Amino acid sequence: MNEPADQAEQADHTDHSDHADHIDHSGRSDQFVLAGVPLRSRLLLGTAGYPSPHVLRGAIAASNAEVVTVGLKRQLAASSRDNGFIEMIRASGARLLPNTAGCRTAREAIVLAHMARELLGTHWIKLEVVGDEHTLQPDPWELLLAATQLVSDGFEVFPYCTDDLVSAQRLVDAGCRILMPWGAPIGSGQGLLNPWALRTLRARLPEVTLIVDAGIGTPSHAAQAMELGFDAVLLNSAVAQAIDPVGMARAFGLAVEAGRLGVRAGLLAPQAMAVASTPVSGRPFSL
Amino acid sequence: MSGHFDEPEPTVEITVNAEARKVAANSTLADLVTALGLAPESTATALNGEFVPRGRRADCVLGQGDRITCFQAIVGG
Repeated sequence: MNEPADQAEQADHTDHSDHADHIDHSGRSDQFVLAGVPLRSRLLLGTAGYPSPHVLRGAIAASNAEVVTVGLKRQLAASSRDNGFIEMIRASGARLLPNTAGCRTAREAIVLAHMARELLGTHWIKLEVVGDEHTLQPDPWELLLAATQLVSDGFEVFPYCTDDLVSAQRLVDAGCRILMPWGAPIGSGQGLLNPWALRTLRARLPEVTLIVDAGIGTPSHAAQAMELGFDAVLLNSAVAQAIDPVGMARAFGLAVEAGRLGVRAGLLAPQAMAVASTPVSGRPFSL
Repeated sequence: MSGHFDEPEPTVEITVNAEARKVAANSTLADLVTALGLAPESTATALNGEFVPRGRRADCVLGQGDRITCFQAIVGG
């Protein structure tokens, strides 16, 4: 495998000595391990569309995200450099997750993934193969073709997929350990349009790392994804386009943590009718 | 005056990121990256839709009609 030193092997900037936040009241560990890498944050953050690199850096820090997505584009001229933002992100300690945004075929996505691996020194790839221009819906057939090839090429494939169970299972069969179904179309901010489908994915694929990617608009959407039992959330626009991206980044970090703590603690099952919470008979404090 | 001084240097026509361009015959992909002023280590290349790793650019001689794409890392979601 002709691969540069992988960032998976790079010095880990994160201090994992404090595991207090991974232990719940019953002593159960809740360590998040993404593709073999222990992480403290279950929020993955996109880097596009921020008002400035300074704000982006502040948002990464405020969110506590340890994985950030980046893209590739055609280099038009010598002057069109990346302005050092990759190094700025590396300096933040965050790991890079390059994407294949803009690809419409498996062939394009495979080539771009190899380019990303060479440029960024990681075998992680967020695999995007879009099949519809209006919804930017992933093309399940091309996605599967690309995922199959890239897994055999040694990539850790993070496919951006729909919430369709059977196509998700095919991606797992192809060797994907992580799936990133959409909550809603990219950038739409509509939240989780089909919670039933996401819940079904969680129930049917308990061993797969599931990350809701795309469509998250508010912190409560992110918390809802975590309450559905998802392992993590990936978002970009809701933070980047906020009036105060740094403040919103912190809000999302807290929401993801709250949702995770909630689902671990045991969510109250909905009831059709009222269930009185205040005891009206017997002695007070007779629980 | 006549003779070889008047003969234009042989070139081949290629496209770089869909823009037409002429390069000297027998130029390599590594030569092209240098001529474009791109930093080799922060540029990824493909020839006719196939990825060409950095270490193989010097062995890749450009031919008539070749399509070259050069990519760099940018922000992304």
